[in-house]
Amino acid sequence: MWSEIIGLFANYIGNGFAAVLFAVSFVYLLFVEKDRVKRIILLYTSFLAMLLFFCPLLAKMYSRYLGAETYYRFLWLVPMTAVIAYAGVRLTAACSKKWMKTAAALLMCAAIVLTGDYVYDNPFFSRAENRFHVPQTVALVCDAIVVEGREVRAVFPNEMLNYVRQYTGLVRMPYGREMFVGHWGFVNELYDAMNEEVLDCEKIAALAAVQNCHYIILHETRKGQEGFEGTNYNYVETVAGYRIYLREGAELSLG
Amino acid sequence: MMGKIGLLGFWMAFVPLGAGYFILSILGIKKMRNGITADNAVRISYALCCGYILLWAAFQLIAVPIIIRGGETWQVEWHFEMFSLAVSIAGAFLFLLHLKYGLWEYIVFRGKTILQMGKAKEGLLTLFLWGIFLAGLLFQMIQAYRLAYADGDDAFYIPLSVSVGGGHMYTSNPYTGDPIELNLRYALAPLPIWIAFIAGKCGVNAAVAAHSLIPLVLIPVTYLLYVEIGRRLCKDVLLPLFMIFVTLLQIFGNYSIYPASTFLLTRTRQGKAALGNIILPFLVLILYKMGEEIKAQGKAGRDNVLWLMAAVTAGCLCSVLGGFLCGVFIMMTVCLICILYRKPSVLMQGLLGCLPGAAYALLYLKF
Repeated sequence: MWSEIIGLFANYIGNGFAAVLFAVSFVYLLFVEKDRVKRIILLYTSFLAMLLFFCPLLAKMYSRYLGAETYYRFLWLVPMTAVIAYAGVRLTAACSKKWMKTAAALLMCAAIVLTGDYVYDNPFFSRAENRFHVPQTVALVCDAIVVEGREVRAVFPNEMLNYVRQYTGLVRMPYGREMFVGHWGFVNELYDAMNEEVLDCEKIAALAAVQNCHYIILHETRKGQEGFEGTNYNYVETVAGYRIYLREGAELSLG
Repeated sequence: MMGKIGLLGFWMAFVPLGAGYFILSILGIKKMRNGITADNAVRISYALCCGYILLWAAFQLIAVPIIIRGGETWQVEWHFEMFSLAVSIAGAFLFLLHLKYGLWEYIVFRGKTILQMGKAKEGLLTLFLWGIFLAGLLFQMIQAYRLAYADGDDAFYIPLSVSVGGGHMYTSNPYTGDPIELNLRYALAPLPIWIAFIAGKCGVNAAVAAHSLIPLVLIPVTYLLYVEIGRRLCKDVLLPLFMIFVTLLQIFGNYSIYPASTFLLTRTRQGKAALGNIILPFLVLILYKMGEEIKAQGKAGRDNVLWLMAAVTAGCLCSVLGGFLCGVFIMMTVCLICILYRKPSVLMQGLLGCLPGAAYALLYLKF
C-alpha cells in the first residue's frame, strides 16, 4: 500500500516543481504568519491532510470503500492555491520599498509560471468545432441517422464512441467507452470484429444484426467494405468521410 | 442566442444571488435591525457563492429521494424550480426593501469610494491590478467556450444529462443507452440532472449547456470564492495581487492531470471539478470565518453549522466522494480549532455539519 501511495503522490505532483513552490511557501508562512486562525486554515490543515494522505490504514480503507483510483483527491484538502497566493502577498507586503514590492510580485508571478504548466498546452485541448464540443463529423453522422421521436441503434468506429451519446440521446450503441478501459473487463465480439485490421463484413453484419443495430458506420478509408454487398446491411450514403450502412427492412418510421 | 444567454443569466446568476441574499439577510436580521451599513450589508459576491451552495444542497435534498423512489425528472424539476423561484424572489424583495433602509446610501458610498480610488495614485494601481485579474478571468472564460477538452469521463456524465428528457433517471447505461436497473451509487451525486435542469430552462441541449455555457459561470464563481477568501486573508489593497496569483496558479496549474486546478479549466462541467474548486474553497471560507469568530467572541455563530451542512450536502451532489472529503476536511479543521482555542463546542458544530455526509455515506454503502 505504501508504494501505491508514493506512486499516487508522484503522479499528482508531476515534475515536482509546483510542490517545491508550495513547500517553500509553506515554510515561509510558518515563519512569518503569526495569526493563529490563518495558521490553522492554511498551514496546520495542510500538514494534517498530508499526514493523513500518507497513512496506509486510511488509504486501505478508502480503497476498499471508494476505490483506489480516486485516492489522489485526498490531496485536494491541501489548500495549495490559497497557501502559495497568500505567501506571495505576504512576501510582497514585507518589502519596504516600492521597487522591491514590484520585484517581489514579479518574482512570485515568475515562480508560479516557471514551476507550473500552462493548462492550454494540454494535448487534449482542441478548437471546439461546435457548441456541443464534439467533433463535427460525429454531429453530421448522427444528424444523418437520427429519426426524431425514437431511438436508433448504431455501431460506430472507436474514434466516435465517446461523443455520440453526448451529442444525442436518440442513438443507442451496442458498446461504448467501457471497451477502452481494459481493467473493466468488458468483452464484445462486435467490437473485436470492428477493430480487426481486415474487416470481415459478413461477421460484422451478422453480429450487428444479432445486437439489433440499425446502422453500421465505418470510415471510408477502412479497407474491405465491398464485403458488405450481399449482406443484410446496404450502403446508404457517405457523410463527413464516414460510410453509413442501413439494415435491410429496418423499421425506422415513427410510431 | 441572446435570449438563451439571458435565461442562463437568470438561472445561474439572478436565482443563486437572490437565494444567497435571502438566506444571508435572514441569518443577519438581528444585525440589520438598525438599518444597512458597511458592517452588515450583504456582499454580492458572498451572496452568489452562498446561493450556489444553498441551491445545490436543496437540489440534492429534492432529487435523491425522488430518484430512489423511481420518480421522474419532471418531479425533481418542478420541486426545485418552485423552491429556487421562491427563495430568489424573496431575496430580490428583501434587496429592494433594504435599498430603502440604508443599502442605497451604502451603494452610493461604495461607488464614490471606487471613483476616488481612480484619482489617487495608489488607487489607480489597485484598479490596474484588478484589471489584470479580470483580463485573466475573461481569458479563461473565452478559452472554456472556444476550446474543447477531450475527456473520457464526459462519455459517462454528459449522456446522463442529455438523456433525462422528463423520464426516469439513471435507468439507462450512459455509454450505450441500453436500459439498466437504477444505478443508485451514481444517482446519489445527481449533478448531471442539475445540468439537465439548467439546459432545459435555457432551452439548449444539455451537452451545449455542460460544455459551452456552465463553465462561463462556474469559473467566475470559483474566483469569487477566492475573492472572499482573499478578503479575509489580506488587506483590501493587496486583494487584487492575491487574485492575480490565484489566476496564474489556475492557468499554470496543469503540472499533472490530478490537481483541482486542472479540473477547473479542463473538466469544469463535471461534479468533481465543482467539488475541488467550489465546495472545498467554500469550506475553507466558512471554517476560516468560524476560527475568526472564536478568536473574536469566544464562540462561532450557529449559522456556520447551517453553511457546513449545506456545503457537505452540495458536496454530495457533486461527487460520491463529496461527503467523505468534506467531512474529513471539516473535522480536521475543527479539531485543530478546538485544541488551539480550547473550545470543545466547535467540535459539536463540526460534527453537526458532517451529518449529511454521514447520511449519504450510509446510503452509498447500502447500495
